[in-house]
Amino acid sequence: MIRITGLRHRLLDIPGLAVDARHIAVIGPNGSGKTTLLSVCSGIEEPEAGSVLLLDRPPSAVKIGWVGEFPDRTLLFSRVYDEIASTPRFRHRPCPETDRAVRAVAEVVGIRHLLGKKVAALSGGEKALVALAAACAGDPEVLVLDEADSHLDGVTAERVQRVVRESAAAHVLWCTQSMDVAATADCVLFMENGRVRHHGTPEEVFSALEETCFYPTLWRVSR
Amino acid sequence: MQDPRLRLLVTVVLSLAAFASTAGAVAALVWWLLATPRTKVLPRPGVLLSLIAMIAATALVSAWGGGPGLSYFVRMTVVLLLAAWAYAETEEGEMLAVAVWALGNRIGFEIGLIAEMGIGGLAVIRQDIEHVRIAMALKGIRPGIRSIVPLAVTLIVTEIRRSEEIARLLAVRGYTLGGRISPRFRTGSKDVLASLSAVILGFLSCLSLRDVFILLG
Amino acid sequence: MRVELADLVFSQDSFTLRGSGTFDEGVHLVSGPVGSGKSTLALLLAGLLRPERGAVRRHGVLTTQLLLQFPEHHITSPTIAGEAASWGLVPEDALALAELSARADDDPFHLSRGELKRLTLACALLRDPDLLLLDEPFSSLDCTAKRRACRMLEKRDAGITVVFSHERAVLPRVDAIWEMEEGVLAARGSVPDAIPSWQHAPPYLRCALEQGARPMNIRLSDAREALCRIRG
Repeated sequence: MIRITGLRHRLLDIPGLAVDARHIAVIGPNGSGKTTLLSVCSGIEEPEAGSVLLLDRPPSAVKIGWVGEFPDRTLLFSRVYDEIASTPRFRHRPCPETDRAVRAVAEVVGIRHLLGKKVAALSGGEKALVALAAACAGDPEVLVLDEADSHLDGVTAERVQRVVRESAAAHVLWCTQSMDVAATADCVLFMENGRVRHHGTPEEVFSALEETCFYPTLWRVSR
Repeated sequence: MQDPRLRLLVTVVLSLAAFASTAGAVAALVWWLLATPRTKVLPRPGVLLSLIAMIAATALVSAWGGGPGLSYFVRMTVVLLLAAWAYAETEEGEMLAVAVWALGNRIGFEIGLIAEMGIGGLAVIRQDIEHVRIAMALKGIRPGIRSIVPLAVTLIVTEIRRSEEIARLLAVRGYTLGGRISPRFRTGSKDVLASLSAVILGFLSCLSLRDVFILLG
Repeated sequence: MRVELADLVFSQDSFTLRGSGTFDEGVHLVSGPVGSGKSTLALLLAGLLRPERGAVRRHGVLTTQLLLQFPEHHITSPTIAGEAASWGLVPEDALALAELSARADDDPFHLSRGELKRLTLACALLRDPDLLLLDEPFSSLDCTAKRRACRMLEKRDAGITVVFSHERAVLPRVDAIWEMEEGVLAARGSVPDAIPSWQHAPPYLRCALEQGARPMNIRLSDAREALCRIRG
C-alpha cells in the first residue's frame, strides 16, 4: 500500500492518495512532477509538507531499488560485478552472501556472461540491464524506475519489463513515456502540473485520455 | 605484474629513487627495461612526446640558469616511464581492492569508491568533451581561447547534473559509510622477484655511490 | 541531390560499422537498438568522422546540419536568444518555433531537457540545410512535443533528412527505412514497400500488419487508416 497525505513539495500538490496495486505506472507530460514524485516516494527528497508511507513505513525505512533516466551514464563502478554488488556491500553484508545475491540477480536479468566484464566495454542497452540488476540486488521491497526505458530499444525494454514483472518487490513505481508499457500496469497515475489528474486501472485512466496522444498506440489499432 | 599491491609498492619506491638521484633514475630505468613490457605500455606518441617536450623545456630553463638540467631531464623521464607503466597495467576495480586491503572496509572503501567513480567519470567526461567539440565545429566555432569558456560551462553543468543523479543512486543503494568487500589478489612468483629487485635497487640508490663500493668491498 | 555510401567501413575499439547505399532527397528513418552504431553513422554522414575504408560521397549537398542526441552539448551561449543567434539565426524566429519566446533572456541550462531539445530542433530545422541529420530527436520529449516535432519535420519540403531513432510510438511520415544491427547498415527500401520487412517496426505497425493491413506509411494514423480500409 502506498499512502500519500497532504503532500506539498516543489510543484507537487497531492492532498490524498492511496494505491494498493503492485505495478503502478506514472505518466504525464514533461515537467508535470513525475520525477519529483518518485524522488519523494523513494526517500531521496524529504517533502516540504505532508507525508508518504510505503507499506505503512516512511520511505527511508523501506528497501528501494532505483533505476534512473540515463542508467548508462550513471554507473558507480567500472566493473559489472562491483556495480551489481554495490547495494549489499554498502549494507555491509558478508561477502559470500553478496556473491550469491549478485549471481542470482545476474541470472534473472540474463547477464551472467557480463559479470566479469568492464562497464566501458558494454553497449548502452547492456549498461541499462546492469543498472537494473544493481537495483534488484538488494531484494528491494519497492522498485522505482524513472523513465528508465526512454533511451532503450524495443528488445531491451521488453526484457526490463519482464524482469520487473517477475521481481519479488511489493510495489513497482514505473514512470514511463511509453503508454503501451503503462497499459500493462495494474494502476496508472496521470500527472499534470504537479497534481494527480487521473488514477485507477489502465482502462479507467486511458478512457479519460482517449482524445489525447497519451492513449496507448496498441489500443488504437487493436480495438 | 598481476598484483596491484606490489605494483603500487614498486611504483612508489622506484619513483622516489628516480626522483632523488640520477643514479636512482638509472637503476629504475634498468628495472623498467628488464621487468616491464616497455614500449607496449607507453601512451600514444603524441601524448608521450608532448610530455617529454615539457620536461625537456623545464630542463633547458634549469640548465640555462646553471642548474642540473640534464639530470632533471633523465630523472623526470624515468618517473614518466614508470607512471605510464603503472597506469597501463592498472585494471578496473583494483583501486577499490587495494584501498580496502590497506585501510579497511570504512576509510579504505571510501577512498577506493572515490577513485573508482573518478575513473568511470573520466570516460563520460571524455565523451562529453568530444560531443561539445563536435557541436562547436557544427556552428563553425574554432577551438581556441574564446571557445574555452562555453565548453567549460557546458561540461561543469552536465557533470553537476550527473553527480546529482549519482548522489541519488548512492542514497537509494543504502550507502552511508564504507562497504564490505573481500579483496583477492593473485601474486605470481615473477611479481615477487621483480618487486624484490625493485626494492633492493631503490635501497641501493639511496646510498651514495661511495657507500655502494664500501658495501661491495 | 544525394549522399552515397560506398562500402563504408569504420572501426573503433572492438566495434566495426559497415554500410552501403544511397540517401536520396526525402525523409529517411534509421532505426536499430541502442549501441548499434546509429550515432556513429550520423557523424560519418556529417563528415565529422573519417571512414577507414570506402567513402561518403555527397552530390549536390552544400550544407549539412547534425542535431546531437543530448541537446545540452550544443549550448555555447549564456542566453536562450544568444543560443539561437549562435546557430546564425534570427532569435525571434527560432524562439517562436520552439515556443520559448517568453524566455529569450533565460539561461539555456534552466530549460528542461525536453524544452532544450525543442530549441535545438527548431534551430536545426530553421538552418534548412541540404542534409539534415537528427540523432534521436524524440527522446526526452512527451508525446505532444513528439507530435509537434514530427509535424515540423514533415513540413520540410526539400533536401535530405535522416532521422536516427528507436522511437516506437510517435513517428513522422518517411520515404525510406534503414536498419542498423550490430554495426551493419541495411536498406529496407522505400515506403510503403519496405514496411513488411522492417524488423524494428513499432508494435502498433506490427499489430496492423498481423491483421492483414497494408499501411501506406509508418505513422499510427497510417496504421489505423489501413485497418479501416480492410475492416470496411
